[in-house]
Amino acid sequence: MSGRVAKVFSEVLGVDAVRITDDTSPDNTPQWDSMAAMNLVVAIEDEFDVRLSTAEIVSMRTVAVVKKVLATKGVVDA
Amino acid sequence: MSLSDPAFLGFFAVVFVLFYLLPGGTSRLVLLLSASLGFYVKLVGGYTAVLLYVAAVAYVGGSALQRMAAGRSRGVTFIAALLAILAPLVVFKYLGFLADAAHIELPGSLADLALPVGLSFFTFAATGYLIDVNLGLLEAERNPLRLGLFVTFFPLVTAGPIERGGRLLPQFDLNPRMSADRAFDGLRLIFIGLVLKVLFADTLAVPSAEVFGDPESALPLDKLVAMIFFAFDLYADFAGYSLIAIGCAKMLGIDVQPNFRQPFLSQGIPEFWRTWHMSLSFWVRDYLFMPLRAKWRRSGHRGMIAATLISFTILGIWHGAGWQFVIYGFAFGVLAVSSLYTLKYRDAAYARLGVPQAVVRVIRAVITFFLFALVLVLFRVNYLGDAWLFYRDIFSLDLLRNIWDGVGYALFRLGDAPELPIVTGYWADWFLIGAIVVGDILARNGVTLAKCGRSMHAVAYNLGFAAVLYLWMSSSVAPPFLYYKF
Repeated sequence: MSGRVAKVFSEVLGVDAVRITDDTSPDNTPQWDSMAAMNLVVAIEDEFDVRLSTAEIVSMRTVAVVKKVLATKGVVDA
Repeated sequence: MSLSDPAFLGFFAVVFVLFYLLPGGTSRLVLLLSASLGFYVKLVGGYTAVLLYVAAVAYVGGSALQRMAAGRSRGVTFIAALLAILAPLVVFKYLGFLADAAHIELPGSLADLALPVGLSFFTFAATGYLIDVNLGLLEAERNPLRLGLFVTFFPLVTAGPIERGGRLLPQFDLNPRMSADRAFDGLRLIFIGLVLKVLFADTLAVPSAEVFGDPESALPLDKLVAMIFFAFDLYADFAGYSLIAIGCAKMLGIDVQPNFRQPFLSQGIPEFWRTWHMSLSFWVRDYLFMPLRAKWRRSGHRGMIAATLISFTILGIWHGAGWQFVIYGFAFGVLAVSSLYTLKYRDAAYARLGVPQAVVRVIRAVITFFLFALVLVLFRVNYLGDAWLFYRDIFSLDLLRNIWDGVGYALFRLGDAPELPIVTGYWADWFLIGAIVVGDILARNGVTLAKCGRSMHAVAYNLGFAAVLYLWMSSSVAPPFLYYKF
C-alpha cells in the first residue's frame, strides 16, 4: 500500500509499507501491540494534524477504519 | 451441576440431539435459550432474576443507544445503562467489602446475599456489548431472544470465556447442519477438558488445599511445593473448564474464542496475560487499558504506567472483593511495567554473557512462572495474613535448611526425617505437572492431539476416558471449578 497512512504504519511498526493493507490489524500484525497502538495514534495525529477522540481511537482496529475515521475529519489524501 | 459432572454431559447430549432435530432459526434459538435458563435455574434458583435483569438492561440500553444521535443525552443514557448493568455486581460482590472498608454494618438481608454463579462473567460480556454499541462498533441486537442467548448461553454463563457481541451474535442464526468433523472436534475439546479437570486439577488440588488450609503448620519447602501445585491446579482447572465450554459451543456450531494458549511458556508477565484467561485480559485491554492509554497518549511513560497499573488493579478486583485481590492485581501491574521497561537491559545482559537463546527462553519461562505463582498465593489464601506466612517462609533460609535436611535424609539417612508431608506424600503429582509442561511444549510446536494419527487418538481417548471414569466413580462429590465463585 502506498500513501501517508501506510508510511506512518510502516515507520511506527517497522513493517515494510507494501505489507500494509486495509485489513492490517493487531490480530494479523504482532508489531501492532498495545504499546505501538498509541504510538500510531500520536503519529497519525501529528502527520494529519487532527485530534482523535477516545471513541475513535478505540474503534481503530484496522487500517481501513483508520482511513475511514480520517476521511470523516476531512483528510482526503490518506 | 458443574460442566465436568456426568449430569451436565447427559443434559448437553439431550440439547445436542434436539438442536439438530429442529429446523434452524427461531426454534433452535428458543431451545438454546430455554436450556440456558433451565441450566442456570438449576444452579442458582431464584437468583436467575439477576441474569435476566442484566440481559434486559443490555437489550434496552443497547436499543436506546442505537436510536440516539451522538450528543449529551446519548452520553447520559450510556452512563445510566452502564451503572444499571454493573449494579448487581456491586451489590452482590463488593457491597460487603465496601461496607467493611467504610466501617458500616449492613442489614442482615444485604449481608446474607449469595453471589450468583458467573455474575462477573456475564456482567462483563453484557457490559462489553453495551460499550461496543455506544462506540458504534456493533449494531444493537433487535431480537431480544438473540441478545438473551448472548448473555445466558449455558456453556459460557458460569465462567466464560467472556465473549463479545460482535463475535457471538452473528453466529446465532443457528443454521449449521450436523457435521461429523465439527462434532468430533468439539468432542475432542470436551474430552481434553475433562481429563485436565478430573485427572489433573482435582488431583493437584489435594496437596495445595492441605497447606493453604493450614499454612501456619507447614514447613517452608512444603509451602513452596504447594504454591507450585496450586498454579498448575488452577491452570488445569480453568483451562479444562474452558475447553469443555468451547467444545460444547463448537458442537452446536458456535465458535468461541480460546481462553488459554500455553501460558507457562510465556517469556514475561505481559505475554503471560496475553495467554492466560485471554478473554478477561483482552476485555480489560480493549475496554479499560486502551481508553486510558488513549486519554493519556501524550503523557509519555507516566501515561503508560498509570494505565497499566489501573487496568491490572481492576483486573485483580474483578476476581474478588478483598484487599488481597487489590494487591494481586496491582502486583501484576508492577511486574508488567517492570518487565516492559527492563526488557532491553535484560536482553543486553544475556547477549553480553553469551547465553544461548534456547537457554534464555527456558530461564525467562521459569522466572515468569515463579513470579506468577508467587502473586497467585494472594488469590488462593483465605486471609491476607496467610500470604505473609508464605512469603516469609519461601524467602527464608529455613527453605534451604529444609532442602538440605531432606536431601541428607533421603540419600544418606542423616538426622531425622523432616516433616514434609506434601513433598514426600505427593511426589507422583510431579508427573502430572511434567505432562502439562510437555503437552504445552508440544502444542506450542504444533503437535496436538488433533494432528495425531488415528491409533494415537484411540490410545489417548481410551486411557483418558478410563481415568476420568475411574475418578468420577471414586469421588462422591466432584470439586467445583475454581472460577465458579466469580
